[in-house]
Amino acid sequence: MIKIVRILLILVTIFTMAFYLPSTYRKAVEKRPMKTMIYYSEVSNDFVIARETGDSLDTQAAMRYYTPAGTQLTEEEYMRLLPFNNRRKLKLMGNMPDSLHGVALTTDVLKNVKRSMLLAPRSSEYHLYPLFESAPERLGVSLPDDLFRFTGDGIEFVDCKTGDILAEKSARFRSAMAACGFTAPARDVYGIPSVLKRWDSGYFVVDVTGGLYHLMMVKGVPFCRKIDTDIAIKNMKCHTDEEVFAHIFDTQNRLYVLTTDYTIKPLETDVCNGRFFMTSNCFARTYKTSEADSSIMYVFSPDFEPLGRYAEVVDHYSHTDEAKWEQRIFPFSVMKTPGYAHFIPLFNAPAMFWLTNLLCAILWVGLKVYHRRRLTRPENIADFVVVLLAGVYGLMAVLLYPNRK
Amino acid sequence: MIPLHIKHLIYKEWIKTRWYATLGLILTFAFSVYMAIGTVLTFHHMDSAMYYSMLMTGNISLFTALKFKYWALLVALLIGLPQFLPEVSHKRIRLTLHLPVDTTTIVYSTVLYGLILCFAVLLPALLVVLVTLVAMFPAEIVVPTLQTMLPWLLGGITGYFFIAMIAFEPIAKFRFLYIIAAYFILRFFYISYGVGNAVTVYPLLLVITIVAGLSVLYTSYRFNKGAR
Repeated sequence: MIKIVRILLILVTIFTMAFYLPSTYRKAVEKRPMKTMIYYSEVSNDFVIARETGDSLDTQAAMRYYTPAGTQLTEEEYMRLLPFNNRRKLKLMGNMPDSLHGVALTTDVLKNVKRSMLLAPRSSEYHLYPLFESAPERLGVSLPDDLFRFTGDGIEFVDCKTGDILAEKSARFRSAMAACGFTAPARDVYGIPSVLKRWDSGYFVVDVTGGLYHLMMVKGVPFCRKIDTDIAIKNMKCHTDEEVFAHIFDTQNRLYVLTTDYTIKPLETDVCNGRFFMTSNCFARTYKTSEADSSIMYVFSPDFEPLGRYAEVVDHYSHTDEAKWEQRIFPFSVMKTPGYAHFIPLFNAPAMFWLTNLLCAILWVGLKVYHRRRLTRPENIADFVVVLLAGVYGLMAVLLYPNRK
Repeated sequence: MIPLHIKHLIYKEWIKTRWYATLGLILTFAFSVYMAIGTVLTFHHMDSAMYYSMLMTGNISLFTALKFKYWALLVALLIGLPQFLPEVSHKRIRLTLHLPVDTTTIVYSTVLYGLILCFAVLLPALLVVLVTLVAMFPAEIVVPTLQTMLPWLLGGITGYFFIAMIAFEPIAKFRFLYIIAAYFILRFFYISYGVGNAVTVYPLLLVITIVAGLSVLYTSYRFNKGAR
């Protein structure tokens, strides 16, 4: 029993070390990567690349700007190509154009730039939501006195103060939802449950059959509309936008857009990592994502027609010598997905760490021989296997829990 | 029926820990009542709809005041340290472990006594928190909140097991190393997993708690065999 307990302690300690040691190593050796940014110019209808140059540790790092063909741009040319990003500076310099492609660049047009992070995994939430009035008499969004939730019978409104169920309101919304084909209970509810938005667009509810419904309250009356789609929805990111209700991720992390005319359009992006940074203005919509060693931008027209794609190799820790040494030292690492409770083991290639593991095993054998221990004892064989497989972690763990009395 | 010698052992432990347990009971109960009153007052003073809105948008959290997440661990320290420190510092634990009773029985009588005492100390405070939650909020709030709190409770239990494990370790060098290992292992219980998210990590935390519970056997065996 004691031997089993010892092995269990060793395994827990290896897991703990695999979580802390590689990240500590990375913090100690990692240098700030050089920035590489991709922009889309609404002026030239082409990409602009900004690359940081110079060693940020020794000298002042500077940004250099290029066209995709490699022609270097001056800072002024770069700013002129990106009037939405450099609005304030161009105005101060008196270089802001009056119009672009026949559209007057008024303050409203220039300020109407939307930026949003689109993530495929859902964040945790309480399954209670405020249903705002979507057509209020006064501008803005005001907080209702009740919250709604979904039970096996359908939608249910709960009074915030007393916790009582509002039977009449619940029945009214339930029948409106049933009339458009909603089958309780709801599988997911997506929306913006905050008053910090310009107007309310209601909620998007996925029912138990996978059907998508738009739920709103318009002048106190329920509004429910079924949205025709066969997408297996994983997550939706809702927006307060004149043209777009939400972005949708399916279970394969493919991205779609749900427009305010209830059309769902797939966005032709070939990277499905479930992370996009979206920006949009009245000329173009850009979706930026990244892979292990590159930054990729997709550009679409305001009607979501693809306009271009550009990929740029970026400075990344995984390309450095320090990262290679990390893979040589540690056979694997454990990481926690940010914001979630998933611990993921990331195994390095055995070709990288086999030598370290072998050295650890030789060291362990050397210690045993020096202390005149019998290597053929079952617990010593088990320790040897642990050291051989878990390398540095295994060696430290077996030494931490001696198998001798 | 508890054998007489175990009753004597438990009485010995009770004498060592009773005042610390009383102190822990008073403090945790008083703090939980203070925290519950604070929650009720905030809920009523602030518009209840606004309170819910802030709760759902993550601007306020329930029962995070007064470092609530560490209470179980602090109670484990409050009970575990006076229970095991005198035994270690004066090597009195030798006497206990050399009684004509099975070592495992002695060790687990001591450890289970301490664990039950920790629960008894925390129980009134936990009941105050639970009653406040259930009385004020719907299940959609109560269940994720309790799911978030469970790792903290498991962290307290694991912390207590590690105190016992470290106390039984006969070699000072290893005792020091086990303190460092225990610190890093315990950190898994206090990582911010997000409201209700911790459910997926329960199996891992439960395994760590069970291993910590068994680890007492390992060091007490070493102590009993006179490891040097």
